[in-house]
Amino acid sequence: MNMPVIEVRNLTKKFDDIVAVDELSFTVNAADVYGFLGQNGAGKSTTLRMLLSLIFPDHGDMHIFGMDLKHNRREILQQTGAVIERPDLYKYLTAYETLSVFSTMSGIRADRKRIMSQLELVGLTDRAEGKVRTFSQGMKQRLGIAVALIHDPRLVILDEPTNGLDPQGIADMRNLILHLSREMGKTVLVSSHLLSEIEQVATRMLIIDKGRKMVEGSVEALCRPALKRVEIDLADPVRAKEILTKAGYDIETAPGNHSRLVLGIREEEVPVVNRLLVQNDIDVISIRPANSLEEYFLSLTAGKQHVEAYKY
Amino acid sequence: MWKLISIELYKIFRRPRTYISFVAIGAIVVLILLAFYADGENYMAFGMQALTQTFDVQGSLLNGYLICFVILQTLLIHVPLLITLIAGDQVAGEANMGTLRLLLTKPVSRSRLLLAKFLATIVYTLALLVWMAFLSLAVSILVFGTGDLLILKSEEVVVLSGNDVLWRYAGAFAFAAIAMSTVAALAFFLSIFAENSIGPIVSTMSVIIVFTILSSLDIPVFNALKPYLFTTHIIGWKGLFDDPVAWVPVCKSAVILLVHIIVFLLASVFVFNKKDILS
Repeated sequence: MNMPVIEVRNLTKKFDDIVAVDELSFTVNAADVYGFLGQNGAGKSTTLRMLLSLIFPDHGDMHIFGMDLKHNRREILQQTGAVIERPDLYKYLTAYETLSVFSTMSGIRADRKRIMSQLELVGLTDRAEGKVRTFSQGMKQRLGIAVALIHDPRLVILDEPTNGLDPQGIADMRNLILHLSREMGKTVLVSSHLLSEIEQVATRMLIIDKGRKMVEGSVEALCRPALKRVEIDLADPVRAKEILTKAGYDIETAPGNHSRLVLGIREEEVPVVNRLLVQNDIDVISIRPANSLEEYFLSLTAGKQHVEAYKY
Repeated sequence: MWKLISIELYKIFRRPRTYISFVAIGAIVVLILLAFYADGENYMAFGMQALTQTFDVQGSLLNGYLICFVILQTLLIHVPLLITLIAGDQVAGEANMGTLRLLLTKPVSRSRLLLAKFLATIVYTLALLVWMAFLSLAVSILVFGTGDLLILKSEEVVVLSGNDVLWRYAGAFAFAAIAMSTVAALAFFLSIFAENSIGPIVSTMSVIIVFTILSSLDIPVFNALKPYLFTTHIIGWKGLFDDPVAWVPVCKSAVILLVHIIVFLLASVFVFNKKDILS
């Protein structure tokens, strides 16, 4: 199981003249909770829709479970569950009927026990016979997730799953995502425009802006407050990356600057890293603290949205 | 495939709006029957003044066959509206509800899903026609009995003997099934482009209204167009009540309509398979 679950290369999609997704590449590994962070309109939904073949890319490759999405759409979707944007369902069906219909469409025929266990997972057992039109936003969202999980997929894709939920709903959703990943061993790809949300559930994350990749790395390295993020400019970044990776450092990709590495280390480690590089005959041009991720993310979105939104 | 069709049928017949059409047809037919029951003799006397002396007719002319013909002639022009109500909603309605994207993240090929939706629409169309046939023919016969069928055409009067009528109705309803499926296929096709069902419903009806006007206007310019308009062929069922039946134009119309259905369906599959789902 070393094969990445999702491997995206140079994905590009234009709508008329607007580039929604621009040469985007990323990798999601098995059992990751992969956070997909960006402001509204950054290209998150477009990317997720392309991963589900709702939208067809202009160019680029998407491999999921090692299969090419272009040729193996059905096999891939068989093992994928998704909630994209609002959890819209048939208003005139009950929760139970909804799950029954979509289990059949997913190629399995869930029996009563399976359907009830899914409803239990999302806390809707007592509303099994209730019509969807009577459900609150949070209940619909949870039923949507039950629909996504009915066929026991390996990969779960959730697009802004906390949108429109109250604080309790947001907390429930967070616990559900953690449960899916930790107890059920699923790979989860979750998008959000809130750093705080991704930080609390994700293991790895990607920030995109205007369809381009800005930062990708482990959440621990990117967000752990004990670590300082430092930018190191080097003459030979390729070899330096090799050496540092070997020494156990987690290196982020720096956007747009190929002679720069960004890594999260404790303050006292800065000279250690420097010495290690120099001892290996790599010229270090500069080492300086990088912006914190939150500052960085806010700078991307500054002026467009109210800063408070990212703090709750 | 059967499972997909049954899911689509389930979705159609779980919605209250589906039954509007059945209630509407029921109401109209019952009203017409009541009117004939109450005042049929006067109506007949008025229309027949000149004819009763020159024709030797067996039994009462006011019978189930005649009423069925009147109902068909009136109603088949309006049934397309009821068909578009469901057919135009098939894809656009799901886009509008937001369920289309969920549906298409399931491991079912788009072509199969679309085909299942189309066939479910056809089943609905046929169900509506069976319902109409039952009410207009079976109930009329029950109330008024059978007899010879007298039809007034623009240049002639056709009298069909009572035992020579039933098979014509079977043919007429079979023809109507093809004609109404053509309407369904058009609405279905337009439904793929829209994100709410009003657009396809209104545009299908507009096409039918414009084409019907072109088909019925007796102006040389339009006459040249007529053979190419499917609305000209939709009323082809009337040919079955000629004596003897002019089979060639009837069959030709049926084939032209079938070709329309196939073209609309193939175009739907082609467009749908390439469509980015943004709803």
